Amino acid sequence: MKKLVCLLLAMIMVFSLCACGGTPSASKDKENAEPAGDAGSAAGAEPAEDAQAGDSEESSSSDNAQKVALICNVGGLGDKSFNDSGYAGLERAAKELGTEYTIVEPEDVSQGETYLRQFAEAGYGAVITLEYSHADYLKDMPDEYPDTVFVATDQEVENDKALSIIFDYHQSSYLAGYAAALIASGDYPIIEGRATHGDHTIGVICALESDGFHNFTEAYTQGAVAADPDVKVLYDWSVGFTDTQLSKQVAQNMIENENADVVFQVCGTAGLGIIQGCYEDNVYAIGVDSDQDYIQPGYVLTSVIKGVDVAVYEVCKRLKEGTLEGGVLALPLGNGTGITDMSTIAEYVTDQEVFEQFKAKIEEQRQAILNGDIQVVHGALGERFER
Amino acid sequence: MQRLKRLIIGVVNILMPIVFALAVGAIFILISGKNPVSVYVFLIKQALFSEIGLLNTLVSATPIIMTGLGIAISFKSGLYNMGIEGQMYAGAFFAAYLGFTLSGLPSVIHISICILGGMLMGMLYSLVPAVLKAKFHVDEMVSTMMLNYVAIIFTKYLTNGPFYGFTGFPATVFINDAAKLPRFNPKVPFTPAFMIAIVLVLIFMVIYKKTKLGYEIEAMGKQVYFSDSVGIRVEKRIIVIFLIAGAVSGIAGATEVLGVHYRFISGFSANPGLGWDGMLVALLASNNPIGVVFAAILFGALKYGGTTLQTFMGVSNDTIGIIQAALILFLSVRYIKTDSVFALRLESLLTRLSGKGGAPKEEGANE
Repeated sequence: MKKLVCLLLAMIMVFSLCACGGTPSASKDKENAEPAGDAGSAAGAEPAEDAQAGDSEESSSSDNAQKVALICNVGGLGDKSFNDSGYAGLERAAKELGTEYTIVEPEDVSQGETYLRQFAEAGYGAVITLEYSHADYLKDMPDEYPDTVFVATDQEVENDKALSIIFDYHQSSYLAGYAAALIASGDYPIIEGRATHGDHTIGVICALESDGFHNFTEAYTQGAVAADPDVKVLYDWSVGFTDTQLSKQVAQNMIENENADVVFQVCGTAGLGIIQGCYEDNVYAIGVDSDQDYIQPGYVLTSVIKGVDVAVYEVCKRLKEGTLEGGVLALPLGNGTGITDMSTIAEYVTDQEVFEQFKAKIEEQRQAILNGDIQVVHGALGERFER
Repeated sequence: MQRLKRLIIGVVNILMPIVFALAVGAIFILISGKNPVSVYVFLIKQALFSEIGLLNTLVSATPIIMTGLGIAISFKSGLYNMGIEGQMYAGAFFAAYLGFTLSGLPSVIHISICILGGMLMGMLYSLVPAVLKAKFHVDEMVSTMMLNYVAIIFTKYLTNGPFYGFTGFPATVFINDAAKLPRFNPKVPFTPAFMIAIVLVLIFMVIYKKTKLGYEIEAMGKQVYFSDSVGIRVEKRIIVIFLIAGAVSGIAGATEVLGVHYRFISGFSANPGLGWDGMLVALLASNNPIGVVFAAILFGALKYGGTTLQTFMGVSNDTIGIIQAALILFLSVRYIKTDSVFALRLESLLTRLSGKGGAPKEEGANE
């Protein structure tokens, strides 16, 4: 009996503690906020965040006007690609511009609207989303929250109050195709014994067929034909974003049965399987979205990069200068998009002289695109390349 | 008296794992440099004591209530139906298909057709393991588990291939406006889906308490061979129970599509998936329909609260994942058995409190 009373008393104490915690903790937050924020900076939070939140979101709207929120896509941080690149941009902005930011990783696609609204209600100056599906919500939401600029990456939102960031990656895909065709022609054996089919054949593997993917493939083909008119380009549109085994099989079929010397992967995580397949079959792969050269050093010729970090930094900068508004922000070749400088593969090159010539030819094309001498087909706008 | 005692024990058994799970979560919140008390207070305040928050919590809870009911009826009858997730995918896709192919219908009719279609698809999909189990004694745990992958991957193919909506990610086109469930508050996807869930809960309560099927479910759950020999047609009942579970999961998928996403998105149920959340909810509620509602609201609050924690407190969403995982772990322990010392003392205490004197009753050995 005594034990029971003790137990009950203990429980009452615990619960009353919980209950008491309610009111004073808000004020306690303020004291704790500064040190807590510092210690927790690994989580990507900024100090003093707790204080506002714990107190009241309503009054804090004006304080947040200079803040930037970044919503990751479902891949989340640590993807060594899109999300991490966005995070890098924020960190740079924090360092150079003193931007305060909050970064969140949604658990699933249904949480997109929740996050977008939470940040807008809290009065954030800019809300950047890296998730493709969020563009649906941005059709109407900017009208409800005039003080917040919503930023969508890699796609155009049907609302000019939102800022759409477009990466002109067709131009970099052109360069990738150009480089691939040079290798496949057999005239530039930069690494002894690698990619020696000499059959003028290259491949590109996409997750699915859409204008977004044609943006890669059309320009890739155009670049390849510019380098070598006899080139044969193999396409695949079937592998999806996640199945590394399937993508590897498709890639190896291209390499082993159709003598492809270079395979360009455009399928997110599934692309890691393609890079692996190229490694096993001793040919080159081309990476996508971020610098993937290091994934299989010496076997990844280059990567077609979207500069999410540059875009995010630009948004932070505009917010600080007070010039952030809706519209389209296109990041052309050289500013955010491009191909890697091939410094990773350079360490494995056996014939430096040929490699220098190879790089010089690509640089020539790059300049020509920048000067406007070469018009690259823009697959995203429905343009198609014809030989 | 027995009832009250059982209630108290039940409540303690449910509260203990929650308290322990929150304690484990608190450790990780401390490690990330925050004050766990203020984090939890903030979470509760955001998820339950603001209009938007409460509605969002209910939105998150809605599908889990339904999948929880589906799992609960299976578990109650001793069937380890792990296929709720797959049945939900089947229902969701078909509801979306009806949503974007049909047009020109009045909203109410269109929505009803979509939900019914989703329900039928869920039932159809659950029929496969049901028949395999009833007629060929195939272990339902294996067959349903495998069929989940079939549904998830097949719908992935459909959204990447024939029904790709040209969106840049694997999803179908939008459903027609007439098929969208109306929102009560324009800022929150809180729709009649929640009411549908509550109606389903009531239906399940009636099934359990008032029908012959309810009794048979109870009997099969206790001893399936005995049920068979006293004349319950177990084979038929297995199929019926599978179909009921498939129906609610199909509705869960349909309302997610019609009320939240407005199209079928491949992998919309994410990780670990609404079907699996439903299983935890059913476990937490020990298969009681009312319990399922409260447990689902707890999960919904954690889910929505998790988003506010990320937004305003800088606490990672993974903390919520840890709490849920810890909850599963602690759930597997029965803290107070009905015939434990604590239970006996509790009973004598209750007897004294009620003033009826300590009539030494025979201990209820039936539980």
